[in-house]
Amino acid sequence: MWEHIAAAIPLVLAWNSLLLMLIGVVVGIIMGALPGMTATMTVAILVSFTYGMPPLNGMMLLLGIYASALYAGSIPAILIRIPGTPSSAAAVLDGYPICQRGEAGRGIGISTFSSFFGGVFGTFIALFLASWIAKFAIGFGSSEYFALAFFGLTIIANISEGYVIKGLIAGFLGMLLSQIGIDPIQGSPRFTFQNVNLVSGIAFIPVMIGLFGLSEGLAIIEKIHARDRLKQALSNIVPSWSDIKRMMSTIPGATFIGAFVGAAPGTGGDIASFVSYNERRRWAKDKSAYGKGSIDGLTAAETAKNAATAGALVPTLALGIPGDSVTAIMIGALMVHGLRPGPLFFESNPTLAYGIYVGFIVVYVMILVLGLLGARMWARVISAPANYLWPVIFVLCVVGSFAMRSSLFDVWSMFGAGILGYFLRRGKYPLAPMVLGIILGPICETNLRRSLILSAGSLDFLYMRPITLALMVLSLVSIILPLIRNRQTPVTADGPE
Amino acid sequence: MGQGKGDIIGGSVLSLLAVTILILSAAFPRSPQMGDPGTAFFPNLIAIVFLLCSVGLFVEGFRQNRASDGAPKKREQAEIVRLRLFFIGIIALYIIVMPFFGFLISTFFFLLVIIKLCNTPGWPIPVTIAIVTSVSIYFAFREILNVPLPEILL
Repeated sequence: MWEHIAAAIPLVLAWNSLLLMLIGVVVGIIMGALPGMTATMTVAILVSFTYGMPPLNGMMLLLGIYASALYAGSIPAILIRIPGTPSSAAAVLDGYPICQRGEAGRGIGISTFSSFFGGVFGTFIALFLASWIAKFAIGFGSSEYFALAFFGLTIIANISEGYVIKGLIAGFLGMLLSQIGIDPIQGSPRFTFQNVNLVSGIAFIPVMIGLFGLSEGLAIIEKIHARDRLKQALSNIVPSWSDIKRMMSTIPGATFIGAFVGAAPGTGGDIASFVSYNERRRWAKDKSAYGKGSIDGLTAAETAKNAATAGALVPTLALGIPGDSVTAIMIGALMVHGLRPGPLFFESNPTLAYGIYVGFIVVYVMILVLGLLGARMWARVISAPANYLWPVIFVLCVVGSFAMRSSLFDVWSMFGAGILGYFLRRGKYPLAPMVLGIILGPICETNLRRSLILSAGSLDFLYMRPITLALMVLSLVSIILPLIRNRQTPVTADGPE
Repeated sequence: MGQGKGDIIGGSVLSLLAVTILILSAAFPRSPQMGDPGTAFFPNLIAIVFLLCSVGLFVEGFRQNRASDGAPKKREQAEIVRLRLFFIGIIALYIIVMPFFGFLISTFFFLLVIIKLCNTPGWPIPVTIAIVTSVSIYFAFREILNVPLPEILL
């Protein structure tokens, strides 16, 4: 492992990689700080810029956007009580009260420091975890891959934000979309309606751009002209020594929680930050301080959110199962270059695999420096004119989907996915399960059919192979638990509470 | 429209989709390989579970609809619905005309229309933003990333 890391360091620290990371961090902070613009949307509309780049450089740009957009989502959360990204919702709890006390600069400083430590330490945990899992998974056969993909799909029920049936529908819709094209085993066309564009299937990236870019714009169209104004000047941004000492008592635990929650496929910073916040509060001597501007509360949420970002790379790179929606787009970006993340990825592309982790650490150093130095400027981004930004985003959605294969069909795919995504959002269907369905559907089908061919049609492989059996048991637990939880949730006129 | 009614419509539409998938899959060829359940196996499997979920959604929507009887319903303003439909139409038109008018011209007009639709006052700044943005994106994709963006055909 160390020799591959040593080989990756000069490539990551080359001027072009550093420049791309810097661009990614700046763009990510600006987009993340704008309420309504998520990290997923930003990565989706800008992924097209990476098609012509070497894979490592492209990933550096995307990592810069990913980490910094999630970090910057806390800037409006702290300053105006509106999370820039869903993962920053927990930062509102104690971040905004800090701002109300007239200490907005201190709040931003604590958020930046916590993000840095969470991101860097989380990356180290993720690095060891991913390389260990990849080594373990290298002997996987088709039955284990099927069970793994099936387990990934069952997570849909857990990430459906209280709407289990709608989450399952979104997931199966994604799987149905992935069925369009050539059958992976037999080679016969499916749902192509004699349209030559459909033979190679629906391209994943344009669908993601439509789902997370266009649909978001359509959903908030009436609010585009609205602006939020910052009413407070920032000062004392660099945390004091006493604040840093206090943060250090929270950071290790929050990092572990963040990295491990983030490493569970389909979870993300939003879940990790709330889990970490609640755990910190549970063990606190003075629980009454939480929700009223507690340094520990803000540190716990911010550290875990960024550690989860690193954790999301574990299943993504080691198993080929996306950790969250952004890493799903990263899988798509790697696939454009003919690379497929999974257990063999660390063996066949060690420099790239380990380079991604090294790059993540460099990105967090940039976030620390730019976050503290440019805090006043980033705070002003909140007031940026959305009436100019959204039209540009619409154009980038169109160009980004066209750029992959220079195909207008892909643009129409994006448009269709955007309309579908808009109606799904409106009907409160979570979109993340659809992404899992699109990515994991083909893996699940191919490996199930291969296993069946190898066992001459018998289902023995489900219980004769220990890892497959363990994963299937985990899958069952993953399906049953949320259904039980959901049955206990009272139904209201607006859906489950 | 209340969530319950939306779920009833959603459940019905999605059930229809699942049944259509099942009908279309029936025409897929059988596999000659021993053990392989064939081309239709997976789409059928997905469609059946999808159908069950859609029926579940329909029932859930029905229950919610009954629970919310008499409660005031949130209605989206007709003006916002029109604005949204107009945006969708403008984006579709932009994609349709781009191959004929080329990227630069169609993007300039598209940006200008959308910026004005977002209640932006005046003309000089919207026109300048539309020109600068369309030229910058064209240059970035065409010249730097070598993406052959559509050129004018007329």
